[in-house]
This record gives sequence, C-alpha cells and structure tokens, in this order.
Amino acid sequence: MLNIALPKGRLGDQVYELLSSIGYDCKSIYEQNRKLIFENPKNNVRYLLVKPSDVAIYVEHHAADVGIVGRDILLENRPDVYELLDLGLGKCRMCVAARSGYIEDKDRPLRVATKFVNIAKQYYADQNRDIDIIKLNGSIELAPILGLSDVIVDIVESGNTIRENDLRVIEEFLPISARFIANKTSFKFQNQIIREMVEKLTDAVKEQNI
Amino acid sequence: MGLRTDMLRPEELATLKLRGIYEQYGYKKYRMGRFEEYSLYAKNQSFLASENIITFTDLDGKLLALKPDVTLSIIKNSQTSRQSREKLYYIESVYRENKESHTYREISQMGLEILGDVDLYAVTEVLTLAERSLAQFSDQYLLEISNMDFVTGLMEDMELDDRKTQELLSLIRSKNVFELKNAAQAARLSRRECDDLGVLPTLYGAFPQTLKKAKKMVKNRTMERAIGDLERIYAGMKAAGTAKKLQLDFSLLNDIDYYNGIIFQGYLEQLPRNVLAGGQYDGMVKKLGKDCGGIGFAVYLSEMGRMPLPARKWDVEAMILYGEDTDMKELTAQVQKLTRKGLRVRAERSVPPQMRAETVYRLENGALKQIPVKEEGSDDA
Repeated sequence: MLNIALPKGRLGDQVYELLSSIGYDCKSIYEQNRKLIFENPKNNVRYLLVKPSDVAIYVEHHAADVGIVGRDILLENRPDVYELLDLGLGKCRMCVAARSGYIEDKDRPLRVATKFVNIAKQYYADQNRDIDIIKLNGSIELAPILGLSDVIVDIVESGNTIRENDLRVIEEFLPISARFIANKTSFKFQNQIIREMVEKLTDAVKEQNI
Repeated sequence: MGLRTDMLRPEELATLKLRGIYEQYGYKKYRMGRFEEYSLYAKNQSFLASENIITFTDLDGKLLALKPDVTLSIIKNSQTSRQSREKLYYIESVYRENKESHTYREISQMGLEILGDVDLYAVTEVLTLAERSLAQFSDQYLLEISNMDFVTGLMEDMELDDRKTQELLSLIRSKNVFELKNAAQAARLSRRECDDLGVLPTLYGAFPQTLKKAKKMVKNRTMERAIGDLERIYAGMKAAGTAKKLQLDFSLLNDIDYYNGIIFQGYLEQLPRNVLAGGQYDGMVKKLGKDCGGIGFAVYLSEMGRMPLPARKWDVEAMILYGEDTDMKELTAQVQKLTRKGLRVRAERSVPPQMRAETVYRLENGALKQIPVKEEGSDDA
C-alpha cells in the first residue's frame, strides 16, 4: 500500500484528479466528511489529506511514501527527500512587492515581511543586501500598508490580492509549481511502484501541456 | 543460567554483535575523549553535517568543542602511512544540531575506519562489514553503493566553475532530473552533456543491470576505472556472500572536496532515513596533512532506536507480595530461586500501579502461593 500525502485545498484536488485519471482513483475521497485518510485497496493507494506546508514533513519522516508539494516549501525547508517530477500544476511566482510609489532607500537595511524566511534571506544574501526579516504567518500584504515593513516576499498567483491592496510587484524571482516527492527509504523499497507512478505521471503531464 | 539477551534493546544487542564481527576482522577498539580542540572543526566545516558545534573555553583558556564527529579526530591522531594500515572501530557519542527542533542532540554512533594503505581489498572488506552490520538489525535492508569518480569523471570535461558544479551535484543528489537539465542548459552545456547528466539520477537499481547501463556512458579513463573498480568489488562481495542486497545508485554523492571513489549508504525498510553511511575520504586525510588513504562508515545507533518493537506483555514474570511480618531470609531465598530460573522478579508489599506481572505470588509460611492477576485497567480497584 502506497501512502500519498495530498495537500488539502485546490492544488490537492487538481493533483487527485490527475492521479485518478491514470489509475490511482479512490472514490471515497468525494464523500463529504471530516476523514483525513482514504484508501482504495484495489489500487493499493491510501491518500492522506494534510496541510500543504506539512506534506514534506510527512514524506521525510516516512509517514507518507510520496507526496505533492509546492516548490516554495521545498526551498524554504529543504527536506531530505527525492524530488522526482515537476507536475506543472499550481503555477505561481515568488515575488517582492511594495506599496505603489515605494522607492528603496539603499542606505539602510531593508525591512522584509514574509512567510518564507529562508527564501527571502537567500535572495537578498545573493545581492549582498542587508535586511531585517519580519516573519508573518498570513495577510502579509498588510505589512507595507501599515509601515511594518518596506517590502514583502510572497507567492503571487493572479496578482489580485496585491493589486486590491494597492501594492505592486517589484520583482519576480522564482517560478513555483507542484512537485512530486518521495521518501528516500520508500523510493528504494517500493521502487517498482513509485517508478511506475512517476512514468504514468510524466506522460499525463506531457499530455496536459500539449 | 546464561545471560538473558531478550531484555536488551535491538541496538544494544547489535552493538555487541557488531563488536564481535569487527574484532574477527582484526579491528581494534578505539576510545577517545569527549572534547576536541575547536580549531580542528573550524578548518574543516564542510566535512561536518552542520556548522553548529557546542564550544566552551577550558580552564586553561583553550577553546574546546564537544565532538560533532569522530572520523576527523581519528585521522588527526593517526600515525599511519601508505606502507601500513590502521584498522579501528569505535562506539561514541557525538553532539549535533537537530535542524527541525533547532536544538543540540546527543547521537550515539558506532563506526569503523581503515587508514593507510586503502586498496581494493580494503574497500571490499569495509563494504562487506557494512552489509553484515545492517543484517544484524533486520532482514529488510539495502546497501547502496556509488563510485563518485564516475560522476566527477563525467563532469571533468565540462569546464564548470565551483558554484555550478555544486548546484548540479545537489540536483543529482535529489534525483531532480527536470531541474538538473535546466541547470545544465543554463551552464551552456551541449545537448549531449545535458542528456548524460539527466541520466545519472536514473542510474539506480540492482547491481549488475545498473552497472551495464553505466558502462555504456563511459567517456574517459576516470569513468572507465570507476566502473572497473565497481565490477571487482562486486565480484569480491559475491564471493563473501554479501552481495544480495547491494544496489547501485549514481545519485549518491558527497562533498567532492573530501570524498572520492566509493561511497555507500545503508537503509532499513522500517526507518525513514539512512542508518549507515560511509565512503573513501582521501581528500580529508590529505587536508589534515597525512600521506595516506582512508575509508570507513558509521552506524547511527540512535536512529536504530526508533525501530518499531513488538509490544511487551509483561514487565516482570514473577511478583512476590509480602507483608510486615514476612521473614526476610525466606523472602530473599524465594527471590533468588526464581531469578535462578531466569525470571524477572520483583518483591513488593503491594502491586505497584502500571506494573504488569505474569504471575503474582504471596509468600505465606515460607511457601509461594499463586494469586490471580488482576485484569488490566482494574489496577485502582
């Protein structure tokens, strides 16, 4: 039985559709209830619904054999897992945004509000820019409006939230999409099953992109 | 009555067995102090799993560290040259950062090293011992091997700068074929070179088949020699009967400044991470100013401690209840009698809470009388 960690939410739904289209369906997942585990013994799969940012943790610790997780989370937490495939789903960009009309004062450290502390640190370290990080867990867009920070580093998908809050994107620096990851032990001991899944997914992803 | 080993935890029992095996191959136990001069680590940080080290100033003003690693100390203290060979094993604690909880942890390690003349036989022997070590813990294990020279040989002619090389190696390590090809293209490598690199992470699986595939990729002497070495090692391990659970994985890579040649990792099916890691570290030996080779591995005993164990039904086999007026001489004699039979025995005035005994006796008039055991959950009755 292969344990698959699915991120709850829209991305998870898309990924489930994809997996179900190539033979890993599990109808009980559509039932309206609060269950977090769904399995289909016929296909030898068990889906675990977890918080998107926890997917990599479940996989790294072997609670799930494989999982689907955004590249942002992989870069932020650097889990010790195999990154086997880019699914091309959930595409967005990691961006720097500020209030419209903001002009950077290079003579003092930049105050950066973000959920992605490590990604932001790395990005500014590459430019040799001194920064103060303010770690927030949500509603990041508020920070520059209230003067809590100069800029924010966050994921932007459509750009609507940014625009509606009178912010603008200054720089896009990382394309993000969903990745198929595997636990290292599982990859070795369930190699046949995982390889087959990756091959089928690769074909399905190609087909979708045509 | 012999020693009862069923009370030992699997890692404790394995430690004893491994000592036996290593001694049989002529390795000597090596014991070292807990502290080491900090400068040793400051100079060789990238050899270590993490930069964070517990340091303190000794009373004489020297800056010391609690050992985060054993191998460096062994190399430093070794007197070996190319003409001789030093074979050691150790059981030590090391102190490392736990990245997840961001705290220091004490980790128990057992390991083995050969310093000096490291030839193909020495490599094969170390791999054989690694395999036998894994087999002590479970039947479901794998030993993964790679020859780093094969990968460095492939990248030899690509004229990459240090940063790009590190980036590509890290992508090979995480088997990220897609990103690897992108990075190779960005480094302006030819299409052929990009494809070759992209194949590396998929060169994985049973030894003979994977080696055959790798052989087709050989481009220069370095790669040819790397394959030749692997072939001979495999033949040697087959002769030793330790080749059944071998796998080749060319995505297995360590820091190329310190490691070279053969590297390997061991996995158990029940545990999320590798529980054994090792390889040749000639680069590190040279950095510490010694003119010889080195190879070794470590078994992570703390990691082994997480193996799921069958639930124990009883805490003790026998419990003897006694009262105020019990004759101590009689009680001691009865306890002695039962322990001689190999049972675990507790003498108590009443059954302690959370204590499960298979049989409960009451000592009456110098004789043991069995009384019924209470069902679980009725302790408080």
